[in-house]
Amino acid sequence: MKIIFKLFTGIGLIGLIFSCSKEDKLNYTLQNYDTFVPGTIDNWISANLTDPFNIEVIYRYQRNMHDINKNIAPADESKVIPQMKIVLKGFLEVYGKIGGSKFIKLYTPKQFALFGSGDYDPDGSVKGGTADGGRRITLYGLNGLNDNDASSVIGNLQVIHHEFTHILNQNRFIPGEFGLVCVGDYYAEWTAAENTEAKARSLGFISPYARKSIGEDFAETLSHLVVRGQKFYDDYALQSGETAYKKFKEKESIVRDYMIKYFNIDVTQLQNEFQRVMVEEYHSTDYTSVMISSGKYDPFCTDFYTEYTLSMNRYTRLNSYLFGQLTQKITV
Amino acid sequence: MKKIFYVICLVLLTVSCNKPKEVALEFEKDPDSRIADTLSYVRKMLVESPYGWKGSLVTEYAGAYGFYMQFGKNDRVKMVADLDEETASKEKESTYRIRQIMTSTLSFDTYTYLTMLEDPNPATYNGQPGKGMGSDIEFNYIKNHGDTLFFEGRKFQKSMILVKATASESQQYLSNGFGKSRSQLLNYTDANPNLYIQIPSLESKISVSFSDESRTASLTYISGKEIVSKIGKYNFDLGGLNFAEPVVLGDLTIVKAKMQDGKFMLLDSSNKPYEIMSNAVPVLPITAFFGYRDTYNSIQIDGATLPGGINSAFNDIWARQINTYNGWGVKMVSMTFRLVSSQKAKLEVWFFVNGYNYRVDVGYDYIMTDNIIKLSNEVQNDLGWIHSDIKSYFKNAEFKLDYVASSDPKVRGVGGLIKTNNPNSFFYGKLVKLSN
Repeated sequence: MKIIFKLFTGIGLIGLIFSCSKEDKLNYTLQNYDTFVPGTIDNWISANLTDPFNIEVIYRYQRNMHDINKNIAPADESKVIPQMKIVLKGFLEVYGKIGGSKFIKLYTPKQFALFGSGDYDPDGSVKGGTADGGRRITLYGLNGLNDNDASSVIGNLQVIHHEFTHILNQNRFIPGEFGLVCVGDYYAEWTAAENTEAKARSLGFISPYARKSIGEDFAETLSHLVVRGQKFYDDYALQSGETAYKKFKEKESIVRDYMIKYFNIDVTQLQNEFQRVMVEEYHSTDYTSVMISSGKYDPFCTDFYTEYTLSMNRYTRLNSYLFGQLTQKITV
Repeated sequence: MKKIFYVICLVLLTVSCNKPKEVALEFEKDPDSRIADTLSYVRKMLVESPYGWKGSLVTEYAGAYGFYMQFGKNDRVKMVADLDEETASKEKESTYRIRQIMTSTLSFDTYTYLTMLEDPNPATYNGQPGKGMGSDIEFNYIKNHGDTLFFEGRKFQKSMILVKATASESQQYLSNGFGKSRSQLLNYTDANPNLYIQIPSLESKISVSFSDESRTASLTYISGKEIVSKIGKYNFDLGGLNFAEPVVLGDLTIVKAKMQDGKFMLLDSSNKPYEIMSNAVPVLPITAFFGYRDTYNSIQIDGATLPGGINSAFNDIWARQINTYNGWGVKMVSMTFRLVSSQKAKLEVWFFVNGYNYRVDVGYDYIMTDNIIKLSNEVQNDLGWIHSDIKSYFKNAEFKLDYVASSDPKVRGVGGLIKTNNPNSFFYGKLVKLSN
């Protein structure tokens, strides 16, 4: 009896193995009904951005690429390639040349989302771009882009470099001492009427927007240094008064250290390369006066800085001397 | 016994997984293939219409807009639209996409005329900052009916209706059909002031006005003592207008407007025409609109020139005032008769001299019964800046308030104070509302 019982148990257990295998394969194929047809723009993008840099460009409207509560217009097709050429020449190739192709392939945002109009906030300000999670840069206002106008291109690149700084910051934190330079002066409600450019400047901010938060301040500082150039930055700092000047210079040195320390990138080289591209590709005349040589950027300014604290008299004298020199240089 | 129990257990176990796998499908197919069907149906319909589609789109903050589109197999769409002269005459090509978002959705996913309505940048098409005209670029497919596809905007839930076009329609749309209809209306409203219609069910005439800027038509009439205003949203089509959001007047619904034999007609839902007529002055009584806190509270002469094409005995008196000012080197800015409160009125003058604007006035008490205004108790605060002839024109005078017709059709919205004892003598100017 026992044997029979064991036998049954055995058969039963073997039966268990097969009991559930009753042809349960899911007879189903997941399909993508979105019959996307690539056009000339898509081919250009894959040849120039997707293949070399693994970058995806979303230029056809997708609501989930922006704040779904906003109304944002899609990009005009005719602006897509000019915009991405600007990204390629004024950003990817500049960083690629100075930081190395490994750096740019590693850190470049892998997704660019393009929209035709600005992103309008309820407070009346219009966003030009956003960066998300170290992966995506969203550029707004494409339909207003004019790639024959150097200042339009520079404004556009300012946004890209600003957003890329956020991406770098999302990979390596902003040094703590950066936030201490202007501690207490940050102002979330930066569009308020009292936050004029003069006010922000006197507190040591490169733009009223920089007052919004430490992160924006850092991004504004680096993007102004690269895109507007050292001369612009120094002039701006110099004419902002004694206390502000110190803050500007302190922030600059923290930003430069950050770039060298974490990414081994010399901001001066970055500036030079950027300016070369702007002049050669987009015929910009914004940098004609001082093309910065390596290392020491502006001899007048560095000299001036050491002498700076000595006396206010000397400040005024040097100041006029300096601007006399610079004006002459510009006319050359 | 125990063993039998075990055996039963084992047998049960072996069959335990044999559950029925068939799901009773409510709509015959599973959701995935049903959406696939809809998507390919919408695509097939759009692409395979040989002469494209004509359509209308309603917006939230403005009126409606007309489009003619041709959908290609390669995700590309060409369109003309009635937005302005350029969109009507120049075809624009962009991409479109049909895919499932929540349901099957048609999106115009690169910039085209249709997305100008959605554009939050006011510079594009004068929409509200951040909001545009309150329109969509993604449209859910709702249903079809004959040759018509019905869509609904995903965000603002306004309807977009596409109708199959014929060969001749296609050809007309592509040769500036929208532009022709639009300039036809604009020319008509320029040449013909104070439009109105009459319908049997309403005693009052119904004043009709079209706003090209907001693509709305308002039909206003008086019911009892109330002013009733009905707004319809129209877009252009071939030869006329289509009310994408119709106007309901009692039991009839106005759906179209058309030029027929040189006459401009509104058509109701049963295609019955109502001729639009023009009148020298507005058709609704001025008393319904004029009062110290009504639509208008003032009659204003703007600058030194009276509204053109009008003959009144007041013209001479005005010329005397202006001559005096010219002699002094003073510029007339405005002269306004305004009702300040339920009892007080003012004749107010602004003038410009030596780089500054100055104001003086003469005050009155007034009593208004129907359209008769009686002035009394003149209080002069004008320091001699208002001509004595004008002051005596108003002093203790009795006026009839009415519209004033001009021989120039461009001069509109003129109101006058007509002397009750002399219909050829009246003070007149633009009807305006000034804040008190």
